[in-house]
Amino acid sequence: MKVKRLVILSIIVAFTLLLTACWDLLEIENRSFVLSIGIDKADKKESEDEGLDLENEGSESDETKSGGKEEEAKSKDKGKSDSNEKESDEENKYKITFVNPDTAESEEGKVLDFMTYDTEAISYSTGAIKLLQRFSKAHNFEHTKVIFLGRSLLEDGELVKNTVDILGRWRHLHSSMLMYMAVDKAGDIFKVKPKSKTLLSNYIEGIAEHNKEAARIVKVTFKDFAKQIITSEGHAALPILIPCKDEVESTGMGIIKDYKLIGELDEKETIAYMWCNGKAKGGVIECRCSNCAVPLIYRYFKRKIKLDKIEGSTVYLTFEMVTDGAIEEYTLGKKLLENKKLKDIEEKLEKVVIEDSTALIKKMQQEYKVDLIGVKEYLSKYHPRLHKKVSEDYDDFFQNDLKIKVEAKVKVRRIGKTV
Amino acid sequence: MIKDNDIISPYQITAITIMTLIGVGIFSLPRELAEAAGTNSVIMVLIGGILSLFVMGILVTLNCRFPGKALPAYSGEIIGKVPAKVLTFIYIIYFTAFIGYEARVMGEAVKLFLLSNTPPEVIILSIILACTYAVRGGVECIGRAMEVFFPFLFIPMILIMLPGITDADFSNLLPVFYGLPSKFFKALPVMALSFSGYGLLLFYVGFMKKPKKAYIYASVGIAIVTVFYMLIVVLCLSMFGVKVVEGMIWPLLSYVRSVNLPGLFIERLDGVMLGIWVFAVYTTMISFYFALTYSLSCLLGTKEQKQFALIMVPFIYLASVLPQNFAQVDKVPVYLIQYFGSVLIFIVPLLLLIIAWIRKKGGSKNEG
Repeated sequence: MKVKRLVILSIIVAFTLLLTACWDLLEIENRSFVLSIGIDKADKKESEDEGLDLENEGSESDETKSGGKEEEAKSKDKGKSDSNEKESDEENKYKITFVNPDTAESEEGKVLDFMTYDTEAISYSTGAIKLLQRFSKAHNFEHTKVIFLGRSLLEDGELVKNTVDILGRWRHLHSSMLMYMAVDKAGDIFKVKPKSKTLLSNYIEGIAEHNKEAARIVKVTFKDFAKQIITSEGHAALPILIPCKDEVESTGMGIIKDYKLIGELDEKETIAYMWCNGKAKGGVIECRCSNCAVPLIYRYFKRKIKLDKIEGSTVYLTFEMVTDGAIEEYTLGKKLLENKKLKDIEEKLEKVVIEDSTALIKKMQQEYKVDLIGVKEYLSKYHPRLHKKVSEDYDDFFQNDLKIKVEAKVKVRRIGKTV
Repeated sequence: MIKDNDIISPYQITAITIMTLIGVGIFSLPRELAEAAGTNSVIMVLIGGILSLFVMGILVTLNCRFPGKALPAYSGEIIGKVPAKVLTFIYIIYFTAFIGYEARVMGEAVKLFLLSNTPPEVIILSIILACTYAVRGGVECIGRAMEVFFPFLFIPMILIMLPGITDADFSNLLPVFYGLPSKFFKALPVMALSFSGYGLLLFYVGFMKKPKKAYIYASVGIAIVTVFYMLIVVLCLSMFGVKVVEGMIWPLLSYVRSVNLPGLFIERLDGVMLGIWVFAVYTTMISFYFALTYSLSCLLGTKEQKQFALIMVPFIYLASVLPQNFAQVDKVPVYLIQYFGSVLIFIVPLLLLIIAWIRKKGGSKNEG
């Protein structure tokens, strides 16, 4: 009997000890889902004192170990990278804004309001940890939808490199977050209270989804951005988001060359950018036809690059654009149901595509001097030998020895429900 | 009675081949290949698979000369008792280190993505202990475990990976064949590494009633693995491009993490993937573990291998915690498999076969 009791007792003890799972569980109400993150370059004058002590401790111990010489070298290196800033190591680099839904204000499971938390720190991880000093819940990044990078951050090459690395390395983050460049400060976007009464991140996500209908809306996820900037070693384009009082607008793109923001594309150029990169999914091309605008709505756009010939060091490429769609707008008293008229319109539309694309290519080659039109990618994939030859001095090749011709084939397939 | 039970069926040999080959390496395979072979990775997997078929042929031929016996038993006949014991001991060291490495990588990944508050030691120890349970069951238990796990691992894994195709840009796989000769020898060790698991056929074919069937059934296994590896490499490269894949520690996991299924009841699939992957690692580990305990029983001349399973736990654990950081963990396969393992799997069996042929050892009446 005694043995039996002992066995039963030990089983109970074993069960209570071994089957108590989730001893480190985190209830959902104690989690705080970070919906979007804004990253800015920290203002120089503002600096928080708390938390900085940590950094000081670290650097002090470094100094005692390595002595004065290394410290000098450090400051010299620093001077090289950002010439006019004589900042010490302790200066904050990032201003990070986290956006969490305000669950206290929720009604019937619908959360409309959100809270923002700012923190400044020398590194991203320190910032996230410093935030815990005044934040009661645990951050969760599984549902982070949007990331905004401030203009000043993008203008600093080192910080762009750091940021892309952080976003890729940090295990909590996933790579399907949308990326935007804020027209000024990333933090400003969070001041917008959308009039459509939705959470800001969902609102922006909804806008990005419209890229299927409008080529001027660019949807770039972190995966796309990282792929572009890593593969091209520093060149990428990011869509710009402009905050207004109660709405935001996605318009234009920022051009990043050698990890630095160097310029912007306007709406027309953005559309041409999407065309030239074969990323356009749908949109509208407009031409004028006897005093009225004739827009072609397309849901299909294809770009193909062809190598025509190589003459000496000059390479001739052709960008072939093919699209078709419907015209559903004209004027009374005139008919569209004529083959000849449609051919006329098609020619005009083709001219628009060619002109806009050529203008962008010219701008890329001569003004920005950066290959964001997919030429390098094309050469490396389809003409690896030529690519190897020209990549010794690719910038020179791209600006001087590359002649690009644009051809377009536009087909008007349908004309709506009237003749 | 127990002796009669120690038999594995031809289908189990296929399952063992597949499940042993697919281990911790599948997460990092695209990176290692992208570094070594660039856009020729897919071709390299194919070449690796075909070469593996030849090496497997050598292993099975060796086994067929000694039906009903595994490597530690018949190596004694070929090279004499003492050298055979030394050889078996070397295999034991290799297996111990290999199981330790598998456990460590699994521990690192689980710690990073699933159980961030659990001490890694606990994760590693619990998987090793779970392995001992299967290994104590003997070879038939291993065969059955593989047979059962095989569909549960394969079908969901492929289902998880397929939705990403919508995001893939297959032109990222170009150019193919450009610069292949220069990259061939750089990428070959990587392939040797990913296919090294079939060395265990030296042990398992001995338990088959008709070892000759292993030619076909193990080939099928290697073919399935080759296709599976190709699928992984194609998906990762077409999703991210060579340069990005080069910069990822576990490209396959990153791939699954970026597969987005809007509207599905789970948004992120990486947790599921990791769960399945733990099975893949587990099967690789038990496969090696059994070879380890079996070698030990042959070395010490015991009838059973059961009792060695628990004894080896501390040694395996020690092997798993030896690397100090992840950079060292990442270098382990280079030394362990590329140099040490390759000799044991590719060169030693070939030498044994030649010696057996010269000394006319083994029942080779039908073989030329």
